Amino acid sequence: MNCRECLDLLDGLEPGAPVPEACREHATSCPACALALRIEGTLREAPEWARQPRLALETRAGLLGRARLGRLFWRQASSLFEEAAVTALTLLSAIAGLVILWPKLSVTLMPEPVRRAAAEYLGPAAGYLSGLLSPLVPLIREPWGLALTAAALFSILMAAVLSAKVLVPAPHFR
Amino acid sequence: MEPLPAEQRWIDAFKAGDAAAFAKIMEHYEPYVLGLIWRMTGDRATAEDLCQETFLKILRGLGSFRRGSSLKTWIFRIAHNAVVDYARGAGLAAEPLEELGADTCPPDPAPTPLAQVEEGQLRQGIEEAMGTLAPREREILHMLYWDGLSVAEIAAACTLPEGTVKTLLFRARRALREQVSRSLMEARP
Repeated sequence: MNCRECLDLLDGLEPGAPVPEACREHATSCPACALALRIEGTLREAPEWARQPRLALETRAGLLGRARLGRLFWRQASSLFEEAAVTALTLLSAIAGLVILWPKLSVTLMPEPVRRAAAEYLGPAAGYLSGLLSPLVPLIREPWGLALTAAALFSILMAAVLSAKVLVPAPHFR
Repeated sequence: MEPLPAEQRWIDAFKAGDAAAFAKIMEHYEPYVLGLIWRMTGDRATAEDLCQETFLKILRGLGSFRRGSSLKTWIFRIAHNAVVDYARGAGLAAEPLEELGADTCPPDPAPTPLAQVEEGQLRQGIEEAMGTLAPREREILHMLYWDGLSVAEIAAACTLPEGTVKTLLFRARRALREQVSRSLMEARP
């Protein structure tokens, strides 16, 4: 092996690959290639002898502070959204349950005089609501109509709950 | 560089809102990123600024970091881009990336009195020689030997084909060796 072959081998080595034996043998009689081998060896040990610089303390503290603030905001915001979603879902379920079960429940749970007295007030309200909601009926009959209507109602409720939570924050959000 | 133990766990913890996870990631990668940028810019203050910028980008992007991707490669890509942007802003010309020709093999370096070269002298010679290399060669050598990245990881971080990285590596090793030999020869009494 001559110098050029040895150096070509060294320069083309895969990272971490062992130095070919032929190259080592050649280096025993060639100072230039021996130096090349030592340079390669020293480079491979670079992580052990090289400096390990660190950011200035205040720079690092600033970065970590930003991370903490960002995460804190994210955590609070996510828990706010989570709570609002749960509240809106509960409200939606309760309203849906009430609308579906009310005719039967009112008959079985309420005595006749109470029902008659309630009907006096609930009648006009029900009439008003049915007038308001009647345009929705054809929509609900469309494919996916029920799911989309439920999603829309959920969004409206969630927006309302979120607004209420933001406007009147619980003590730990202040 | 050893990979950060339980890296995915720290990423998941960060995504779940744990700021301490970012501190852990930063603690692990900071010396490597700062070392690389310092090497590339040659100025500690500029390196600190760019390193801070790099970690801010990591902080912003970590929340949407894709599961299964390599965090190390991603971080080094951000650092590499920060250096490239800095070099562009500073008006430093990008070196052309010509292919290595058949006639680029230099003559054999002059024999050096190896016995007289101490380890410390050799390290200093390498450090000084690194500063004389072309930026791209310097960056690739630093990523390979100082940061412990593989050729594939360097290629991903620098968005270069692996073949190009190997070519650059070949050229960089040769240039470094010649420079070290030259400086050791000049240092001879």
